Amino acid sequence: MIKALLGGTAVVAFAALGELLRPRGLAGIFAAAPSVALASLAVTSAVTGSGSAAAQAVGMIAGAAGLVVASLLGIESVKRLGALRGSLAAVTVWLLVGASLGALFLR
Amino acid sequence: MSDPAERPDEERPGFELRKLSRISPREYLIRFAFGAVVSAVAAIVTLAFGPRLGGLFLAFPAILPATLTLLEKKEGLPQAASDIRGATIGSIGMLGFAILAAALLARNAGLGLAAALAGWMIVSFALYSALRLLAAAVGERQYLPEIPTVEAEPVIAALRGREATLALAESCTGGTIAALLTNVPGAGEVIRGGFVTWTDEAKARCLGIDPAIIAEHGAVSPEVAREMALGARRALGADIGMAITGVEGRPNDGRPPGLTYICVTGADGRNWVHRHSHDHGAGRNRERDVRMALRHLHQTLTSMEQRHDRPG
Repeated sequence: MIKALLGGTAVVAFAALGELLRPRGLAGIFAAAPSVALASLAVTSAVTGSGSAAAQAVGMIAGAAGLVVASLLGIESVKRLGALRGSLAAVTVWLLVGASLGALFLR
Repeated sequence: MSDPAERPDEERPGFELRKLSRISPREYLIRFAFGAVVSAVAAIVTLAFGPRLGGLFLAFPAILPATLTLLEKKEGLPQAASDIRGATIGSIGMLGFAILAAALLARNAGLGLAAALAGWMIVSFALYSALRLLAAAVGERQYLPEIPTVEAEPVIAALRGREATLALAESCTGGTIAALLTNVPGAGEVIRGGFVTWTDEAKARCLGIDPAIIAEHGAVSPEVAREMALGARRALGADIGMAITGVEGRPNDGRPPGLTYICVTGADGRNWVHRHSHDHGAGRNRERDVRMALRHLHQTLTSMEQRHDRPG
């Protein structure tokens, strides 16, 4: 519950920061800001200890690798399919990559 | 006939700050909700399947579809595509964040998170700068400057609202204003056409400007801006004429870079000339000119409406 509130707040803060920046390419960096991660890891460290947070961070390496692949493909899919369908395709790619990396390394 | 209300009007610095208010509370709420949901999913997966699988979701791109869809609606697809290019860079930075966090969190939670955040910023911004330098070195040039259509849309709406047609004459902006305006849906009803009159000869031949006026005042002058707007309106039989003439890069005719005159002329022959003189550098001057021209055009159109609405 606390994580959800802090996570939401962090996303809004980074989004606002991103909106201030021009040009769009630079502002876009903030679309992949570690806002949820920052809030969640801070709460996990405080509540369940830093060992658990470090383990989450290991999982996050796989998630971030998936995000690199997803957004690289997203550049093309957004151009071809439009913002909504293109980014949903990117999210699907992330789910596939994340699930396979998770199955391979994180169990 | 003419009413040269010259208003020296610089683009205010801190323009970016004003963008904050362009985002509605609803959009912030959507982002908040996405962030909260993803945080909750990560927490639930951690409880059910352990912290490693839960951690996977800390890099879940849930907010991407929401952000990009809003951006496409407000500023067009090229901006959304540009945003996801930035997101790719940010995601490589996020990989740096995760690696640093995994390595340092167990030792010191606070310092570890701070170092990871710094890592994300350094990796992202270094990569961004490197790619910019690479693009410049390879000679990549954008077809259009990175200008959103947010300023073009209200102009088209204002023209349609008063059922007025527009003719354009552009010199220093090289047709960019026409490109942006004609990109807005519904532009076909109100945009008559435009001229790119780059040389003095083109200004005289296409817009019927007396070469003596150009010789006397110089191509970048309020007089020529006014003649250009009148000429475009006359040539295309439009209700409104808009013209822009300025110095983009190197000094021209003794005029400093950044000096620009924008003129809007109405059906009754009245006209409004705006002058800008701040030099932002060759690449940025055009963007400033385009934005200012669209804004002045919109302001003039709305003030015309008010005048027409007034009784008597």
